[in-house]
Amino acid sequence: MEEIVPKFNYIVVVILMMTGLWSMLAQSNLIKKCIGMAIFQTGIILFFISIGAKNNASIPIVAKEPLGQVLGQAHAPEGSQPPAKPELAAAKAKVYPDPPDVNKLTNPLTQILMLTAIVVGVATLGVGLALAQKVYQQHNSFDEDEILENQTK
Amino acid sequence: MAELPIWQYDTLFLITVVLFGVTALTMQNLMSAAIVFGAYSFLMCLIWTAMGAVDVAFTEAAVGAGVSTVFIVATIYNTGASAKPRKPRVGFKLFAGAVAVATGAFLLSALPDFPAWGDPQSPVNSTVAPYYIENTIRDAHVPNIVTTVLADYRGFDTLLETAVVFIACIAIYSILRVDSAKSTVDEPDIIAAPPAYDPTDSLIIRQASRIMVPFMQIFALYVIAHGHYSPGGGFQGGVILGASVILLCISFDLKFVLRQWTEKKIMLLTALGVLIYAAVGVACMFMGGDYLNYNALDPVLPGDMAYARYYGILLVEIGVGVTVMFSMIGIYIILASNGRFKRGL
Amino acid sequence: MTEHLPILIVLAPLLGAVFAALTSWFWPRVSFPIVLAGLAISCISSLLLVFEVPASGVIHYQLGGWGKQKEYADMVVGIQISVDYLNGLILAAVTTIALLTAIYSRPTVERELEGQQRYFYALFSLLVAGLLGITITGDIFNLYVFMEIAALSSYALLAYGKKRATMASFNYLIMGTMGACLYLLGVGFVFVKAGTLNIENLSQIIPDSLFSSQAAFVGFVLIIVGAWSKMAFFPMHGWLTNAYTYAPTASGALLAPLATKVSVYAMLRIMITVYSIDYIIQSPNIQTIAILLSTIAILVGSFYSLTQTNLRKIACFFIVSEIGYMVGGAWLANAPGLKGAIYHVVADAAMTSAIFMVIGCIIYRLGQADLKKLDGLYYRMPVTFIALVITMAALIGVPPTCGFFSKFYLIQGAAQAGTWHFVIALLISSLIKAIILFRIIEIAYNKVPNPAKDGNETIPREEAPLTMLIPTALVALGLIALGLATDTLVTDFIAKALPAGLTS
Repeated sequence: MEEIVPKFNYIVVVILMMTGLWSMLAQSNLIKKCIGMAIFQTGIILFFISIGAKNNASIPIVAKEPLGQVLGQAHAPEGSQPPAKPELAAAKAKVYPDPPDVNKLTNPLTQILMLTAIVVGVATLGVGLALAQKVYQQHNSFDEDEILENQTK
Repeated sequence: MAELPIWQYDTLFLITVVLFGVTALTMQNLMSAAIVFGAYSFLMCLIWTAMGAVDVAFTEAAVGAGVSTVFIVATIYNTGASAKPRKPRVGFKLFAGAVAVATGAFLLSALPDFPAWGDPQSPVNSTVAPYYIENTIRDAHVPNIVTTVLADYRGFDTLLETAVVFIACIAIYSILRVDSAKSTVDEPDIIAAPPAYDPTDSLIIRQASRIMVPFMQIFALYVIAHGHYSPGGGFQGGVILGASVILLCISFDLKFVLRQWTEKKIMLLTALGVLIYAAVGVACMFMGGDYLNYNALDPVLPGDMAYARYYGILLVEIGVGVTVMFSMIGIYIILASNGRFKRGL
Repeated sequence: MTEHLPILIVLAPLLGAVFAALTSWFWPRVSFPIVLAGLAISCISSLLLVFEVPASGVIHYQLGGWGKQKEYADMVVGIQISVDYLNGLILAAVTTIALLTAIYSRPTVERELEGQQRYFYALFSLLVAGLLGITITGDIFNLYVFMEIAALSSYALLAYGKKRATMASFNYLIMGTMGACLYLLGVGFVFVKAGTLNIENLSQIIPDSLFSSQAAFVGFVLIIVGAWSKMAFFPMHGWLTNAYTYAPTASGALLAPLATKVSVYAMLRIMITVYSIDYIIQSPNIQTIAILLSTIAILVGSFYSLTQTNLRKIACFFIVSEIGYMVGGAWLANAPGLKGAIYHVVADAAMTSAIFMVIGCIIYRLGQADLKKLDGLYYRMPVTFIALVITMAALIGVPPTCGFFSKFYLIQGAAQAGTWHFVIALLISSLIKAIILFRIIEIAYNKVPNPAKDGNETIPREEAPLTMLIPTALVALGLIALGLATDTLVTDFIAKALPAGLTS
């Protein structure tokens, strides 16, 4: 089962992308073309995220180690002295593991690329919708065939 | 997290996402299609969170499910159009379908060549990415690796991304902006609400949004500032800030918001964010480093070299947040008022 | 400061646009000079850099200071931009044409866009920044972001036109986004196998281990098809003619010469540097298909141009056929073919710029640019007419204009590879352009009686304004100058851009 699901993931990604692509080409309604464009782009983003996934890894934020662990005190016994100031400062500085374990953190690079892709996608969607609205103001229709008829009159 | 531990749920999500996508594209009523598209985006967020991409899921929730859906609704609200095709166009649809199927088959032909799912030693995970993971604390003292890569290692890409948002805002402005006095096209009628509904009487909506907006804005500022330590950053925070004002536009009247946020203010502040980002880079050049090399700003920023990068990242995230906020507000107002900045959804 | 020249090339137009957008609300008259200053800085930087490349070799610039990391197998962890033999000339050409077009466009913008000019020059400058970024970047994902910057600006610039421009721009948006998405998907497939996005690193990794990889092959095809969509290569050329014909004169004059050629450069960069020419040679099937499509593109462009009477539509179909020259030349994968393709990128940018500027001048004075209504053009606008003749001669391929040399290299390359259908298509397209030129000359020499003086005298001479005429004349003369400088350009720059082993 562990092998089929990843392949299934990629097949779903391809189905999503092709649905979006088909819609961009074949639909005659301008708004549907824009929605198809958005679906195509989110499909591509799902593809990129899939290739950056890592087994048994957590989110790409380096976690702090507990301060007590860094100081070497598992449980402070009752009535013991709190650690001296320089020791505490030194321990606080080492709170992040150095270097972090690569295998425990997911790949951040694919996520950056997809952050950019999402924003570019919404910008293009906005411009597409603005053009569609202007076309509607001129021709009173969102349908490509009707608009073509209107234009050639 | 990324091992698909509960494979039944993940398979269910994947199938549902395809169903929602197909439904959004085949519905006749455009408004319903927009809402289903919003649901599709939400499901995508869940899938990405399951794969460990929390920043991306956050952005998609804010941008894709939130703002994109609102833009589509704002565009079609005054039109009352439906998606009934005039001609069946069967031949062309079959041809496009054949092209799509052929492309899909071509893409799947590469599948056997892919590395195993989630392999930590795959080329993607073992070539450049280990540098980012191992050096983010050393170079910039920022635990959120995504923020460091976004604003420091690949900061140029983010500057361009901010420019893209800015371009979208001025492009939509240029395309749609119409001076009502000089226009020859009639202003479209706002579709009348059902008679039992009086928009000035929506006490609950107005009071609720009055209470929510300040908290939304504080949360958004927190997201921008805390993006170094938790999922978040300039984009997500900026979109939430923009959404708070869009909420005001929807629950009150567009005119109410336009009294405070005039056209001039919005368009000027959109450009300001890009200017902040680019100016930080130019400041780095003047202090002797390369463009966007925050190390060069070390003499003027507190802390050691790594903290210079920390504060540099914070500055550019603020720039990004400013541009994104005002671009989202500007795009919504232009789309909802058909470019006239007078009245609208 | 000179070590920052590479980033200045892109940064100057970008900052110029932002400042123009800000000042357009306070001092609108200052917007145009700011944009002009940004373009001028960019032009000077690119010219300085072009002459530095033969002296210093490839010039790299690490953004953010992040370069190669020794402990990680010399991988580049940041974004790198670089100027080398392949893109140096193209950068210089793009910046020069953009600057001349900006100067040229002033009267047409004031006439065609009254009252709506607020962001026109900001979008103009952003488009130029996007195109320059595509040319200079050394990272394939960065190329995608720059491509989208250029694309969004161009959708807005094209939509400024008359009523039909909006739908044409929407169709361009759909086709352009499809191309960009296919490109991005291709980048994904390459990334899966290579793990890096930097062009320099990829040029070492791919020939090493990925030549037989199916994923890398799929990525290659997707990137190429994406670039073909963006450059209006047959069969994805339908959007070009409508989009550029109904656009305002200034937008057409800026977009037509530059946008498609920069996409051709992107294709060349992927073919030559990222994947290497050996990869092309080992995939002969795709080579044959590409050359066949180029031949059809040339023929389709040429035949449709015969059927049109609107000069702008004719010029758009010329672009479609010229793209066929470049793609075919590149895919011949031999030295003369590649030299011809790279040289033609620069030459065709100049030729298309000249012809769109000339048509803009004619529309400005005559109000229309119909082939049948150009009577008396020689008497009314002699300088424009001569510029038109020089441009058409360059398109036909008459020495010593640059068009002759690019055809020379392309025919040599095609003959060497044995693809005679390509040679015949090149010759047929020259013939058709000659026919159109003779029609123009014939009509232009007709004397037309002046209706204002009762048919006693001919219409007096009235050229386009000087700010339009001088750039037009400069570009037209530049066509001849490029042709005369061919030898230096090819031996000192273009030949060095080709891989070392490709002597035949």
